[in-house]
Amino acid sequence: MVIRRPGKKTAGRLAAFLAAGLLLSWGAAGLPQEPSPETPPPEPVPSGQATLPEGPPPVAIQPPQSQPAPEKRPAPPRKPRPRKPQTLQQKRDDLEKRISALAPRGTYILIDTGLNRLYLVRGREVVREAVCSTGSGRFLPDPPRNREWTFDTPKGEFKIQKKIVKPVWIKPDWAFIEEGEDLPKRAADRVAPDELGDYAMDLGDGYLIHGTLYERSLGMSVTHGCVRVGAKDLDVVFHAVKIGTPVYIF
Amino acid sequence: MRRGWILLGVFACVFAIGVAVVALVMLRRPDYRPREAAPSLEQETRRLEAELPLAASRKPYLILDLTSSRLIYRISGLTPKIIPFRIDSIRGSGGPLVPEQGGMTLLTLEERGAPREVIQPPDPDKPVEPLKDPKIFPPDPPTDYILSFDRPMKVRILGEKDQGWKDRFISVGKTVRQWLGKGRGRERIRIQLRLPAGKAQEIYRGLYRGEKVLMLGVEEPAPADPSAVSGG
Repeated sequence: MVIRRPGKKTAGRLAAFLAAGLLLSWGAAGLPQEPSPETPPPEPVPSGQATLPEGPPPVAIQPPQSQPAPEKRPAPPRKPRPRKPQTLQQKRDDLEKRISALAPRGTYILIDTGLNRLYLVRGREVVREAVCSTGSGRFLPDPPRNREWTFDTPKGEFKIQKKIVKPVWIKPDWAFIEEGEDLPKRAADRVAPDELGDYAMDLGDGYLIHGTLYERSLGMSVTHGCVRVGAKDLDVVFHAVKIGTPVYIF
Repeated sequence: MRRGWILLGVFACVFAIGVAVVALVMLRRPDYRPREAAPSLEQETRRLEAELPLAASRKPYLILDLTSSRLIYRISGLTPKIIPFRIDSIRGSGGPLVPEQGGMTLLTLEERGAPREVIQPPDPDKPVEPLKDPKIFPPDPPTDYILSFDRPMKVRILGEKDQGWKDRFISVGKTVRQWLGKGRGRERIRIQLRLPAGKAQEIYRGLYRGEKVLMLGVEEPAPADPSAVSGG
């Protein structure tokens, strides 16, 4: 077997290859990075462009200043494409677009815990407004077992995870503690078949939108965190939504 | 002797005029209409920059806009509700402040000013009257409460009921006490907002600990000088 030593020609090629690689890596370092979904980084602003300063804002937007042409160098194989300079108006519009893009399209549910109202919205139109009941915000301690509960309706964006017909409530411990009753020993003693009405929509973590036997208390903050709706409204809402329909609680 | 009577008459007149002015102020119909505010492009861009991460958090947040007297509810790019209010006062450590365009502070709600209600299991020997059962008819939320934040700022929400003279005097007393005496904390900015009692209760019900509040019109006060704090 003959081992060929790299001659002068091969060494030259190798050097050229290494130089090209270096230039490529230098070019890639200048490329804009993918924005993180959690905290989007600020848009890169070219020099001379008006930026948002820490102190008082500038009175007028300065146009980009012309800069002396850089020295001529051999062009790297792949040069990053320079971004168009963004004016303040464009930046504002872009931010507004990014915020608006978070808004839902199609059908969704809005729940106002302050007013105890549920809105079924399609596009921009409220197709059903229902009086509902949300969390009481009351606090239940259970000192013997070192537990406690605060009965708040969670706030934020949720999705309907399950649609349940004729739901059955399996009473949790707090339902007995609240009434000053002993915890049942048999699982069958926890079953309350008619308590949740005809339908329920599961939002996850045990929170539901469901019906109620106590329609007189609709409009008041009396629940243990679930959202109670009257039978007629529940029927309409249940049949208008699908699994995955967004629910916004504020 | 005659001079004394004249002086007494003058004092009585001044006192009567003072009482009349106070009565007029107290009986004045409040104006809750929002004001027009025209933020500049820079200010609006700065506000949107602050809003973007809040909107992306998928949690509801509030914009307390002191420049236009509006409380704006926002969640995930939606604006489901706007409540107008009237500003009673904004006070800084150096005296009254005026909301200015461009001022902005991001706050996190720590307390909504009322103790949490603890459920007491019913006594089996004393059944609760159905009309007094808090599970069916819960007590009304407060109409007058103070919000505390992670910054040295406090916001008093004063819900105005159709109240009698006694309640009005109590309310005025509370305000004076808060601004001057016992209720005064170490906060550097104190804001008092007034709106109908029902709206104050509505706001109270919807608040939650950790909620983000973007306050427009007031700039964040500089961090407190630790040497200036005198314990307590």
